[in-house]
Amino acid sequence: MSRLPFVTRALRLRARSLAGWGTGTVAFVSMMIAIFPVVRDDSSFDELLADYPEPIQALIGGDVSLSSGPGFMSAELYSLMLPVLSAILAANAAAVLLGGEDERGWLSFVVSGPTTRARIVLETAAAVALVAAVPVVAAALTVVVGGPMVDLGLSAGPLVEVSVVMWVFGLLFGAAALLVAGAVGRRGTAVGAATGLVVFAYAAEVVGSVASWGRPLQLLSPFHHLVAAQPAVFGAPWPEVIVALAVTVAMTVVAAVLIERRDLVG
Amino acid sequence: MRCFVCDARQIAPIFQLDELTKRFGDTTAVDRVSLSVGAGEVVGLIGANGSGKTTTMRMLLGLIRPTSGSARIAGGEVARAVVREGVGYLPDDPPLEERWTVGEQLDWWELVRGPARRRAEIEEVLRVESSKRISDLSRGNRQKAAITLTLMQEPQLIVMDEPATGLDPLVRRDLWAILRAAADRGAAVFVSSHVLGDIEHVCDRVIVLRNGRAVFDGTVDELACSSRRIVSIEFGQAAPRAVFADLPGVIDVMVHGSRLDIEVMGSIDGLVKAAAGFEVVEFSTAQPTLEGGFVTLSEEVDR
Repeated sequence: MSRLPFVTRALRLRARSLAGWGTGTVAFVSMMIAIFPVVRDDSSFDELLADYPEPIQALIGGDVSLSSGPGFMSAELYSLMLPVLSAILAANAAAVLLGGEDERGWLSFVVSGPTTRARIVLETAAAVALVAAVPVVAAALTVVVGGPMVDLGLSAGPLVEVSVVMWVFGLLFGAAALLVAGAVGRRGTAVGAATGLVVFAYAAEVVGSVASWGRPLQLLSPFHHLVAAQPAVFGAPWPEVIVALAVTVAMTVVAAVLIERRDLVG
Repeated sequence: MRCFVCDARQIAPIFQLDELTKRFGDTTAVDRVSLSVGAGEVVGLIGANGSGKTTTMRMLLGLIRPTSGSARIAGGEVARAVVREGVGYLPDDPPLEERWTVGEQLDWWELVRGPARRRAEIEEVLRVESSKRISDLSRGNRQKAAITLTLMQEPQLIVMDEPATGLDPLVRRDLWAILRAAADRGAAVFVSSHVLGDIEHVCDRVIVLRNGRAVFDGTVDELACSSRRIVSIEFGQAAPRAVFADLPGVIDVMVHGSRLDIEVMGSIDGLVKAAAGFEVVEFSTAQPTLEGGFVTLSEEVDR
């Protein structure tokens, strides 16, 4: 018997989608790498950035130089696009694999036997972790292959660290969707809640960057603690990463507890 | 309500529902249902749409929690996963993986539930098309795949919600034969169906739910015989209406010359004996059916 049949099922069902997102990520990162030499060799980009107000600079990674490989990739890939992609993919996977499967009656079909709901939640969490890693790994591999061609200068250590941070960021929102799906058994509600959290997290970071009244909100934002720390340049903020992992695990456990205590939907 | 087979054989029931109740807000979907089913029994659960059949089955399997009362399988609380080890469940609308072939679906199910001793046999009997994608199958062929999933591990408790949906008469006959054989090997079969003709042929016992309450628990014959039907007697003389009007079970007597059409409920034994005292030219009546008994009972309960 397979030890993780629900993980393998989840990945089989999402294989085409993940291949598409992985390919898209490779294409996007390749394009970024290809245009890096233009930005590196033209100091006007850094001068343009220096003219922006300080909060705006902070939003687009302005405290690093665009003419450096890590700074450029931080601003163009790791500050918004990759973490949001990882988060949305993870949240959607969690919502579909738990909430969607509850709605269509698959969960009832499976747990009418000896399989526990908690096992489904835990294996779904494992599948979500793998889904969240797909764009991150695709991006990292593209950097490993394409970076040396343009002297990107993003070495293995920082690349691993920023990849871990991006992955953990995705996991956090995947776990949030898992929590909502575990609580209510509705795909749409789980996707909506997790997507709303991503938007809130980004908005809180923006508002906190440009207005003093937004600072308390900013402190609630995973963008602020994980992404804005610019791990491609300054390394991973490990204490924040550990806290994010702990919150992820806690939300997964709560999802398992909540789903055990409620009626299945379908 | 007691399990006849369990009583007769002095064995523990495979499952037992005790005062099982489920409320959704102000609506009581299942109202203090108590019953038990033993090894070797095939029990039909019948009732109108919304009578609580599916809710009862879902509580039996621990998929939804009762508002009050309890469901036990092999003496254990259904919430404990180990108790559900030998359960095979077919929901009303089985969720299958559209992109997988039937064979892939069955293979994966074996990964989850362990080796399937009866897979080949059931695939053959139901003529399951294992190499086809689920999305390419007709409703009936999807149902056959789902039935195979439910039965291939040889479960000790088989719970099926409308298993005959979409099946042609030949496959329906094969399905009931498989279920009968499973019961003969010691499984308990608990099945709901709107096809009362099938229930009539395969079930040892029927339970009728009406508005969430179990209003009948007995044999198919007992329910069928309680049906209201017309007995026509052609006499060789003027019809003796008064003799029949007050017999037990007689609801109405209509006179058509020398013929009486007598509407009767339950046994017609008294009616036959009364007719024997006269010159009878012709005596005819419809065979009592489960459907007739069910309709009669439902009307009586609603009155």
